[in-house]
Amino acid sequence: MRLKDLSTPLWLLVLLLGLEAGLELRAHLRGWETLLLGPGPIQRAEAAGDVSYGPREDYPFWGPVHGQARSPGTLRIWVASTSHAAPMDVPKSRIFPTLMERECSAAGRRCEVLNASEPGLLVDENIATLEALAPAWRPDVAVLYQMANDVSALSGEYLGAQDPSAHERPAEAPEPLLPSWPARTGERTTTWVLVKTNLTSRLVPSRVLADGLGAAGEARFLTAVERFVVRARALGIEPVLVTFAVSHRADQLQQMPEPWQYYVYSFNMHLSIAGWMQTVRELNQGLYAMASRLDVPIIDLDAAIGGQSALFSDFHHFKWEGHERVAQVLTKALLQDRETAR
Amino acid sequence: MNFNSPEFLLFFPTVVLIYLAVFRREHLRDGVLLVASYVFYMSWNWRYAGLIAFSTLVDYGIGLRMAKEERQRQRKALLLASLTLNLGLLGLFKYFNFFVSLAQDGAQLMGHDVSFLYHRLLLPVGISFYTFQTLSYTIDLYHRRIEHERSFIKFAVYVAFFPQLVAGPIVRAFEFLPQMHSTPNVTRARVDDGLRLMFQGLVKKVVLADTLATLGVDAVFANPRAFSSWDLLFGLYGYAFQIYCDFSGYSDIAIGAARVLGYELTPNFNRPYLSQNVREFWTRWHISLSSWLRDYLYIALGGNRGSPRRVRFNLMVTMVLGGLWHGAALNFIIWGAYHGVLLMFARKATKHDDEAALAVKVRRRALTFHLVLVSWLLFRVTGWENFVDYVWGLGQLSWGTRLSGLYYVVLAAAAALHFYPKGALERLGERFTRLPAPLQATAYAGLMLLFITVSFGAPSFIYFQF
Repeated sequence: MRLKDLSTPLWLLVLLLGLEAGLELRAHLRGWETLLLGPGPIQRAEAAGDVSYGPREDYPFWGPVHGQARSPGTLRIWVASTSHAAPMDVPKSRIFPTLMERECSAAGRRCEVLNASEPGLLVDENIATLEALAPAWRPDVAVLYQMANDVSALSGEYLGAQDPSAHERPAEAPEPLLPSWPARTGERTTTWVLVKTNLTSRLVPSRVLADGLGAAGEARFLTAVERFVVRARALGIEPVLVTFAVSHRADQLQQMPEPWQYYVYSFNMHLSIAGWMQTVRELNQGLYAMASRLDVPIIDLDAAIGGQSALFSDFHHFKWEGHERVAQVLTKALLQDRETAR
Repeated sequence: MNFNSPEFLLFFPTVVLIYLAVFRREHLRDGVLLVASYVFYMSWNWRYAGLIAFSTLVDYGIGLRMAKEERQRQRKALLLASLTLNLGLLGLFKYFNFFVSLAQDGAQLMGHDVSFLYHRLLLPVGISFYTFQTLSYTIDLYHRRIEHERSFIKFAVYVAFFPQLVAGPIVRAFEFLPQMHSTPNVTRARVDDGLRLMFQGLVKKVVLADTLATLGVDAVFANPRAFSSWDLLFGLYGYAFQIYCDFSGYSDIAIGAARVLGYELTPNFNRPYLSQNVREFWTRWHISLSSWLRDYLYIALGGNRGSPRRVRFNLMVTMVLGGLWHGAALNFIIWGAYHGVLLMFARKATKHDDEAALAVKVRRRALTFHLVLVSWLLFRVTGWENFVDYVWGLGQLSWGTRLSGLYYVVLAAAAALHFYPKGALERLGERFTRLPAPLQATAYAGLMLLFITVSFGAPSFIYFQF
C-alpha cells in the first residue's frame, strides 16, 4: 500500500476543503462569521469598537454595560430569550432589550436591561443562566420570550422517526447525547449551512408534515415555562411571560414568501407551516392559562404585532422596525404593571 | 459511530493513513486494525468492549485446547463450553427480559409477580453478529474443517474487524483468517473500487433508504388510520425497498471499507426481490445469515434427511430461531414462523427456473415479492394494534394519497437500482473506477453534497438493532 494508491480519496479531500474555503471566503466577505475565518468584518469592528456594550469579561450580557451594584430607583429587567433578542442581523444598539432602556427614559423611568439571550437556547438553558447569574446581578423582573427553539427540539423528539421496536426492546445504542465534536464542526461549515438552508429546506415540504406539535410536546414546553416561573420566584425575581408573535396568521398563510417558509423548514423538518401557526396559537393560550393560574403577569406581544409581516425579517425574527415596536410594547406593559402594583 | 456519520468520516481516513504508515510490518498492521476495531466498537458504549474481549479470549483459548485435544469426548466438552458461553451471553443480554415478560404474563394470571427478574443491561451493539462468527470458528474447528488460529491478535481482529462488526456480513473464519496470513492486496484499483462500493452503499442508505423512511414510511406506519389504502400499500412497498437499501447499503459500505484495507468479505445480497420462490429468496437475502443458519442449525438438526415431517420440523425450528435472532419480540417469531411455512410450501419448487417463459417468471417473482411483503409488515409493525390498524386500512380499498411525488420518485429509483442487471452495474462501476482520480473525486464530492441535502436526521441502520 502506497500513498499514490489513495489518490482518489486525497483528491476528494482537496476538493471538499477547497469548496469549503471558497464558500467561507464568500461568506466572510459578506460579513458572516465562519468556521475557519472566524467573525466577519462587521462583527469584528463592532467587538473592537464600542466597549460600552457587552458582552465583556465583566459583563456577560448583550447591550449597554451596567455595574453589578444597583442605582436606587432603577428597574432592573432580565431578558431571557434567544436569537430574537440577540444581535443577529441588527446591531446591539438596535435590538429590543437595548431599546427598552431608551423607552424607559422616554417614560421618565430609569431601567437597566440585562439581556441574557443567546441564539439557540431552550427554556431550561435560560433557567440555568438565570440561576447562575441572577443572584449576583439581582434583577427585579425576568421577562421570558421564547418558543421557537423549544418547539423545534420537541417536534424532533415527538414527531421525528421512532425506532419501530423501541417500545419493547432495550436500546442497543446508548442514549442520544449532545452532538459530538466532528458533528458539531461539520454543522458549522459554510457548505453544510448553505446546503441545509437552500436545498434541504426545499425538500421538507415533500414529507408528511404534522399539523401540530401535539398535546405531549406542548405540555413539555409549558412545564418548562412553569419551571422558569417557579425558579425566578425562588430567586426573589418577578417572572413575566410574553406571548410569541409570528409574521403571519393562519388566514395569511398564502401570503408568506416562499423563502420564509424554507427558512422555517431549515430549522424544523417535522411541522408544516400551518402546524407551526396552530402550535403557536395553542401554546400562547397555554401561557395565558398558566399566567392566570400562577398569577404571573403576561404581555400579549402576539396581539400587538402578530401577523404584521412588515415588522419581521422572517417567520419569527424581527427587523429593526420590529425591535422598536417590541421594545415599546414590552416597556409600556412592564412600567404599567409596576405603576399598578405601586 | 455510524458509517453515515461525521465521526466515521474522520475515523476511517485516519485509520487508513495510520494503516498505510505501518503497512509493511505485519504485527503493527494487525495491531492497528485491532485498536481501530475496538475504538469503533467503544464509540457506541465503551463498557461492552470487555464483553467482546472476553468472548474473543475464551474462544481463542478453546480453539488452542481443541487443536491439541484428540479425544472426541473432550473436544465435544470444549465445543459445548463455547456454545454455552456465547449463547448464554447472547441470551442474557438479548432474550432474558423477553422471556421474563412472557413469564410475567403467565405469573400474573396466577397472582404472582416476577418483574423483579428484569435486568436493565443495554444490549451490546453487534452481539448477534460477532457471537455467530465466534461460534462458526469453534464449530468448524470441532468438525476439523479449519485449522486453529495461533495468533491471538489475528483472531481478535477476525472477531472485531470494524467494517462488519456491528451488522455483518457474518464472516466465517475460513474466509477471513487466511487473508490475515498474507499481505493484504492493496492497489489503487482496489482502493478505488472499495471507495466506489462505500459510496454506492451510502447512496442506498442516505439517499434511498432514509429518504423513503422520512418522506413516507415512518409516517404511514406511525399512524396507519390517517392514510388511504393506496398510501398503506405504497408505504409497505417503500418499507420493502427501505430495508433492502438500508441493509444492503450497510453491507456495501462494509465490503468496500474492507476492500480499501485489502480484505474481501462475502457478498450479502443478490437482488432478492427477483426470486421466483421463497426458497430462492433466502439464497439472495442476508446471505451470510441464511447460509450460517443452514450450515450450523438446519443441517445440524438433520437438514433434508429424515421423514417429510422431520424436515418440516427442521425448517420451522430454523426459521423461528432465525426470526428470534433478529429481535426478542413476538412479531419476529411470527415473522420467522411465516417464512418457515412459506419454505415448506416452496420446498418442491425449483431453485431458479431459467427455462420458464418470461410471463411465468414475472408472475412467480411478483407472487414471491408480495409474499415477502407480508412478512415485512410483520417485521415493521410496532405491535398488535399497529398491525390490525394497518391491515384494516389496507382492506378499506380507499384511494387518494398524502405521499408526495418525491416519495414515488425515490421509490422508483430504489426499485430501479435493485432490479438493474447486476453485471451491467458492475461494468458501470468498473468503467467509473478507471476514470482519472480527480473526476472520481468530483463525483464523490457531489454525492456528499447530496447526502447533506437529503439527510433529515434519520435513525441509524435498521440492522444495528439486531
